[in-house]
Amino acid sequence: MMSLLIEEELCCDVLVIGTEGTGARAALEAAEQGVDVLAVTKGFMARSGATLTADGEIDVDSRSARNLFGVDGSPDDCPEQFAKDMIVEGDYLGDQRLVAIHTEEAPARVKELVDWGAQLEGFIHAPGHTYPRGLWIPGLKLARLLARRMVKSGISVLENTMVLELLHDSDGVMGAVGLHLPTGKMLLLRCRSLVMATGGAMRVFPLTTAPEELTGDGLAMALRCGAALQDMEFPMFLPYCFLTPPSLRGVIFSYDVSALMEVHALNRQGERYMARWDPERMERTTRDINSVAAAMEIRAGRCSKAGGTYLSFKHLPRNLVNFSAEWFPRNLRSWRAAGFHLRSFFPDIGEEAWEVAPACHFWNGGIRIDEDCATNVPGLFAAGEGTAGIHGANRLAGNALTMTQVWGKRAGASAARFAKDGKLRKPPTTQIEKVVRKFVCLKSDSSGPTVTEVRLEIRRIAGDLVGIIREEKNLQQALKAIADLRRDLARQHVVNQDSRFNREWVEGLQNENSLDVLEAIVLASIARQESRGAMYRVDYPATDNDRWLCNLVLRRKDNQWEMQEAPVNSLYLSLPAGTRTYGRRGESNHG
Amino acid sequence: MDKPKLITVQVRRGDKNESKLVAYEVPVEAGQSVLGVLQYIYDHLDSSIGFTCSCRIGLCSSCLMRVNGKVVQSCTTLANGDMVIEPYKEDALVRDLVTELPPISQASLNNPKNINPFKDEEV
Ligand SMILES: Cc1cc2nc3c(=O)[nH]c(=O)nc-3n(C[C@H](O)[C@H](O)[C@H](O)COP(=O)(O)OP(=O)(O)OC[C@H]3O[C@@H](n4cnc5c(N)ncnc54)[C@H](O)[C@@H]3O)c2cc1C
Ligand code: FES
Repeated sequence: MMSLLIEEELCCDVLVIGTEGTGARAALEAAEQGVDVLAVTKGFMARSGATLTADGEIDVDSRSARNLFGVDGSPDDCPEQFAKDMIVEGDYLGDQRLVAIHTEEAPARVKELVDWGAQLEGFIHAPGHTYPRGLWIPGLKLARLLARRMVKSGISVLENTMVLELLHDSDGVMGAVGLHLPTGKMLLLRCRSLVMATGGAMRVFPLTTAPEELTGDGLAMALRCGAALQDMEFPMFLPYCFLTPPSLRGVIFSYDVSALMEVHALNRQGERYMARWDPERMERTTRDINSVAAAMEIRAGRCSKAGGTYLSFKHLPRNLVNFSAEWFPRNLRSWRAAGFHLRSFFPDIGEEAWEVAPACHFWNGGIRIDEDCATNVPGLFAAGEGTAGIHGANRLAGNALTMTQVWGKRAGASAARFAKDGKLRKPPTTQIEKVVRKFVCLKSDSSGPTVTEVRLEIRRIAGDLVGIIREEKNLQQALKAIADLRRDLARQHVVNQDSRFNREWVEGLQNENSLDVLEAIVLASIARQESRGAMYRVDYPATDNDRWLCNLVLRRKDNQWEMQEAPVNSLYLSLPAGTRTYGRRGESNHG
Repeated sequence: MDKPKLITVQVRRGDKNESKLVAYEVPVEAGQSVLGVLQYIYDHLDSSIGFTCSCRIGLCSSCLMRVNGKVVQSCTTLANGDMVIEPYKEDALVRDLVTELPPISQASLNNPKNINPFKDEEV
């Protein structure tokens, strides 16, 4: 029998998938509620996922920052104003009920981190925020702090285990099947409730800031188990990511360089093209508009030598540029971009413009949740990056780390509550067998393209036919290409059958997830015939508030997609009417 | 763009019991990283090669390796010429360049209950 291939069985009350900002916070909260927690990660704890790579901006409203932490925040700000900024800059697609909770609970969550030993290393005013809100805890320090706390709290952590599929019936979730990468063993993970904290799917795109693991597994697994995905047309891009040299591809010099100083974004003619998109805010507009503008320059052929745009601070006095490396709250003292010394590539900082391009950075949409992080599947909770409704069509800088803490805790509490009443049930053998069969098939059928070819093809489709700038013709081609690839999935060719950390197996299994996610993006993008937030349609360039102020919700039943338009929750701020030119938020130029 | 140059990369392949250096010819552009070279080998030459990495930007340390005898993060180390790549921790070697992967039983370190199925509560 196939389920004999399951080699070990682990049980818990609450299974948390993902161990970083969100997963760790969820696990800590669930453990605090007195239930047994098992947290699983595809990589190593505090050594994988996006959290540790975060520069460190973590938002709370300016007044609370001032009152709680003594920084130079404005007393005029408040959680309501922060919520308003999130709603407006998210182009009105945020779920206002969730947004209000987010800004209300943010101060207490950051206070907790400080109480647990986090040091605040700065306070900045990033674009899109009416007031300065960016406290600073470097991601690596945050991830390590949470990891230490998890270990101390007695939470069990299973590292290097890729969760492949959730097990469920009509009464809800019962567990998951995982692959233990060091040994190649299949594991059965049983639970009463489950928190999905697997982060985004940025690795679907060819140019990205995000780490290896983020291939959309959690989104795809939730979808396949009946959960709804929302706002999938809004993967977020960051405009100024290095294109060259090759080792720096996708690396950011500070996630939001315009919070540091006035930069000029130039096309090959030396024009500050932002004047055509947001003449008032120019490069200090939000990142969605900056990325769309850059992508449009590239598309129009006004690109840099390497195919991007130019980022320059040559207009600034040299001593000012040098000084900025001293005061900006992160490890910029020697002009570092993450672990890279920029001077080894650009000896004279400020002299040359950098060649940059928009890279996929964050997942605005994802699993549809309510205020308790519940999905439409009983026992399945989700939080953090890869859930929808908090950021709408565009996320403000520094607001993802806040999200991990506010929503991680909420998910942990809800899952613990559910587990206390829930039963540990025996997952149906047929479902386990189905997962095992998929895996066995990957190991045996080898008549199709290699897993690498499939991965590269997914990224080609995502880069060339989807991207940030979209149009019907390309999206239809993408759909066709995805359908072709789906046929190849079951026949992916794996060269190596060594069961000890088999990279091809991991990629082969990830490919299915990435393809599900990519198809969701394409379907939602075809449906949304307008431009908004992180998505621009050349064939529908205006923002159409009369027709498209709704969330697109996707589900899949029996391999058929279903799409619904859900009304936006507008509990606090009324929604705008009329049509406006993309990029000039707040102005309504046609009525 | 400058033409890529061809370099010879020797990778120690195998496990604790048996290993040998395997040579690959890899085209590299100026500014390519050692990790980029391994990715090239995996994508185009030999997908059986084992290595780990995550952030690719020098923060997570999952890509530690010994390059020409020196332990480095392979993602921020540039591939300037011919090189020898070896695992950085021989005693914890799993396979090729993969080291120190935790066993399943680690989950039990904190809570033995996770290992014992609560059979009595099954329905
Ligand atoms: C370079 C960079 C800089 C950033 N800077 C900032 C910043 O300054 N401020 C800010 O607010 N935000 C920033 N962000 C965004 C922010 O870091 C993330 O949105 C946030 O940390 C996500 O946390 P998370 O816990 O939800 O997901 P992640 O930290 O990505 O963790 C996901 C976890 O899920 C696991 N996982 C995934 N799939 C599986 C599977 N199939 N099985 C088992 N486990 C799985 C992973 O191993 C990992 O443990 C930045 C992002 C990047 C990439
Ligand atoms: S991959 Fe993270 S340090 Fe190299």
